[in-house]
Amino acid sequence: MGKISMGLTMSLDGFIAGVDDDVSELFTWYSLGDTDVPLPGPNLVFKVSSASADLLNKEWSKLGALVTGRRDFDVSNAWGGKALLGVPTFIVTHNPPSEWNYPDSPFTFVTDGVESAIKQAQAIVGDKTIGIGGSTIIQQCLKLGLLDEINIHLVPIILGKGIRLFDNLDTQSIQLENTQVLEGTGVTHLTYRVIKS
Amino acid sequence: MGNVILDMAMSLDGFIAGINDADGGLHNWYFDPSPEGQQIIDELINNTGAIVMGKRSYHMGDQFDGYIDNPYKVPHFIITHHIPNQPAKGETEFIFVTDGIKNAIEQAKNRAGDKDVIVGGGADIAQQLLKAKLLDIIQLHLIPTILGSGIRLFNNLGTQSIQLENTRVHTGSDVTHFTYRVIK
Repeated sequence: MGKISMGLTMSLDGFIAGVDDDVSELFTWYSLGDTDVPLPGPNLVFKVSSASADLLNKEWSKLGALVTGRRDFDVSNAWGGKALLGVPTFIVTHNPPSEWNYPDSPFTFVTDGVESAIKQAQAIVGDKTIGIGGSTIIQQCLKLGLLDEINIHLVPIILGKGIRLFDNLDTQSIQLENTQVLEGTGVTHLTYRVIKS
Repeated sequence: MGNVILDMAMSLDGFIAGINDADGGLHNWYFDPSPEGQQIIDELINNTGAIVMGKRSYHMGDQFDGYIDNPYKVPHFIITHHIPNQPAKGETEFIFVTDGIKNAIEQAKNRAGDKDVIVGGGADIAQQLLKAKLLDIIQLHLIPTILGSGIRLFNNLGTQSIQLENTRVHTGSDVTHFTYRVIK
């Protein structure tokens, strides 16, 4: 069975977006390098260091499906109507938007919770990875013990305000194993395995 | 002239202590160091000319062992409103500064000379210094744990972003040491 993983850019003070969902100061590393990395989905090309490019290409090639939240979907304007990373995308929401609910839509709306969305994703990914997006969905997965791997692209900035990745957890502490530290340009890639108790 | 360095161990979710000041394993690397960890510790001890800390951090150390086993043989400046009647029992020199963070840093710099001034917490002092642009370097020892609750290092900072330059990443066992220069 494939693992359940997340990968997000985070400021040193723990934010994955600034005020009003502004990510411009966080995403500078996506254009600081000299190696092209075309996204598997929309028409977008990142320019990153070759170390970062290898990491992103490897991560994306293993990806089988995405599970994310409604906010992520709305803020990105449905990623221009194409699945962000070119894989089936499951959106957890109480109110599916009717305009995207049709046969062969790149988006599947799941109304009965995160666990159900992950089950549906697991049914189609085989041994590929399920990527989790959206801070509240990630927090739910962490609390439910569903997350296997955490990838943080740590960027050298203190944002001061915005959306925190690790918020509202109030959990027992969760032990991690830091399996990889990789330096890119304007970013350090950290990979952690979640140690399940 | 040395640098003013904030030096802290932090969980991946941004806490420097758990609930009720629980350590949460954040300082295992320091108290039971690997050879690489020892290098970082030696570097700190050798380069430190003075220490600045808040009243709460001072009391925690005082209650812990009274600074008997303090490897930092340098003056310690404590930012406080009240000077205690009886300072800690160890041989460490404590100077209680009652007229604010700026003066504490100024005095510590004068005593440190060419060496660094280390800010050893707590979070509140760190936040005040960051906002007042009095920190030159932030050194974080990032621990692979999610504490879920406790004392956040980077909190109440406001909306103004602060640019950093990541000058060093040092991978230890169960800790990654990050050094950042604060771009002013």
